[in-house]
Amino acid sequence: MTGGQQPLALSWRDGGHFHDYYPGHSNADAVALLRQALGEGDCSICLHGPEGSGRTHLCLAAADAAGDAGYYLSLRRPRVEALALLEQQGAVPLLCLDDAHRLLGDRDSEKVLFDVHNRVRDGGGTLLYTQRGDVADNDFALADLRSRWRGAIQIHLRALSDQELAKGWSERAKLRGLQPDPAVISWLLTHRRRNFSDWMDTLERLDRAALAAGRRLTLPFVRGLLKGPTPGAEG
Amino acid sequence: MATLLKRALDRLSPTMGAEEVQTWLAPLKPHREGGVLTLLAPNSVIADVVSERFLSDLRAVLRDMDGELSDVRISLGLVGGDDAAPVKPKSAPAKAPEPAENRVDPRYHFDNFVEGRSNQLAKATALQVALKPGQAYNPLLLYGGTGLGKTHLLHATGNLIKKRNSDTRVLYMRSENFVSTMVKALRSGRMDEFKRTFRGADALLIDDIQFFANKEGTQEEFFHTFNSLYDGQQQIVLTCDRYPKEVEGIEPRLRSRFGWGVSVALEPPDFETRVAILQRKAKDAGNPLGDDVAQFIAQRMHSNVRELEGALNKLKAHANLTGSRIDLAFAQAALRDLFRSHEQVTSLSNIQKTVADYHRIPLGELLGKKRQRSLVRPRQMAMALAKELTRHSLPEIGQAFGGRDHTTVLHAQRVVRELIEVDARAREDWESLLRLLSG
Repeated sequence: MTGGQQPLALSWRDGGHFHDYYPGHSNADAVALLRQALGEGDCSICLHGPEGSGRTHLCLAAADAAGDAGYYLSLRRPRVEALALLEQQGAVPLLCLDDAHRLLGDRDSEKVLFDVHNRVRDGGGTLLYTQRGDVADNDFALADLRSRWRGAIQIHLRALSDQELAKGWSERAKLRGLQPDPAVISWLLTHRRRNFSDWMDTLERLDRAALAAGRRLTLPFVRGLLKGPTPGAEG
Repeated sequence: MATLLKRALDRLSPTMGAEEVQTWLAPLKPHREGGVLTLLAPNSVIADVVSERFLSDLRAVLRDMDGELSDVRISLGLVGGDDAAPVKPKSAPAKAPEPAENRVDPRYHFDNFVEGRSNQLAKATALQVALKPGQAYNPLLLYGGTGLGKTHLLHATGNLIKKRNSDTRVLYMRSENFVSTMVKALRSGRMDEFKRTFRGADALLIDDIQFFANKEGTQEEFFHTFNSLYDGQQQIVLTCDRYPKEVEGIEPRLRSRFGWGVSVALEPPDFETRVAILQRKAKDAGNPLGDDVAQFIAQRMHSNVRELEGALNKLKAHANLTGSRIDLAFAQAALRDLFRSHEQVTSLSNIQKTVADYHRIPLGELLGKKRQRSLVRPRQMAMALAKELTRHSLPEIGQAFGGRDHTTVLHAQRVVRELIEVDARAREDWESLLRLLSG
């Protein structure tokens, strides 16, 4: 056999909606609380958690769920561009600022964030900030912004446990019609970062490769495909 | 047409990334005329970036999905879904209503301002100003850390002035809006109108004047506005996050004018006031709190009203989510994470470092054995702050300060308490440190 089916240049990538976020047991309460707070509105919310806990996914989901009322801005970009976007951002019903911690520590940047916060809140809108780590760890340059963040509804996301990671990934694989060998999951746990987003990227890659090669997701196939160095891989 | 655009964005999302699609493309609103689809961007940054980076891909996808589209363009436009229309310049722009951010907020009154030792003087003074605008104290300057109620009193003053005389023109503005309004007026050659607007107010309320710092042009204009209002016995009420003389970058002539009337400080609320604030706000929100719950939160959150509100909002959202009654056990579980992070901010080591930095002494000396007066006073201050802001026991605090006995901590607490009653400088240090530590 010379190979399998040629995959289309299309991708089925989960993300950006509440229904395709996998909270596991660790984050079920946090997601429910987030949806509750967004539903009540007229507040500010700070969603924080470690890398890979799904902050961006939930930030996108919040904007998506609000339809035309929700605006999402990723601040994971050059500071100049992020500030230009924020300076022109008007009052909206829901503004979701992803990775907002990237602008902290610089007084002028914080002032821009502070002004946006005031514009949205003065108009009765809701602000959702996501940030890595804990608000208490932030090094604010502007006390006014610090008090607004610390006065927000604080929602903590946690890293998924190995069991949750394995279960969530298997469920997503099954949705794509894939049935990975159990050994594959054990191997992934020791050779990939324990980060659901990273695992979903891996699933995407494996799905396409398996389709192209007409192979099942067996350990030799997966190991062969992923044997290259993985940035930040653990264990 | 909105559906077509949404499907196009869904198609672009896997390759562009959902974050880029949502940041740049989702805010676009479609407007179709014949075969031409104009995508209206809410601002020039989005319009420019979409034109440069994404328009060709977007155009290709849209035309692939709708063969009748002859062109796809980007334009600046009003946001309004399918009814969106490109901005057309008007020969004589209609007078716009006052933006929401420049109006006195009707939610804030003196009646719903919870009074305590830390803010009663500020409230009483603001009330006098509202009852006798332009006569009692002019200008009134309210200063203090963030989240202590300055803005509440500012709006309450404006609301009462208007309530007593509905013809009175009360103008509220954040300092940054004053700056941006002035810049716009300058650019559009409408400075006369700007001057008339501000100088014609019966009461001008400006929030957070510390942000005037280093803006010479704004200060110049504000100086003249101030003089005009003051001479006309029109009321001026200002807020600042610290005593204005401490704000660097404010011109001396303006600083001196700020001091012409009366300046009143708002301090962080004491325990009893924090409890009262929590109970009042919870009651207003329809979720009354028991004494034990209010005391539990007030013991752990020392700094400002905004943080207390954050804790209450979280509690309320949890209670609504689970349908639970808010009792002590529920509050302990719902706020566990919040208090854990809060306690990190007011850790013993953070207090020690903040006090050492404030007094410009090495941390080792603050914790050391030397008994020079220049070291003993800051050390006592730090120990008293540790008792005030943390839940550590006296022995634990003593241990953290170089293994001292708990009676030393107790003594320090008494000394500082007495000192801030009689010594203005010591009181100022204490209040500044409280502000620094409690944000």
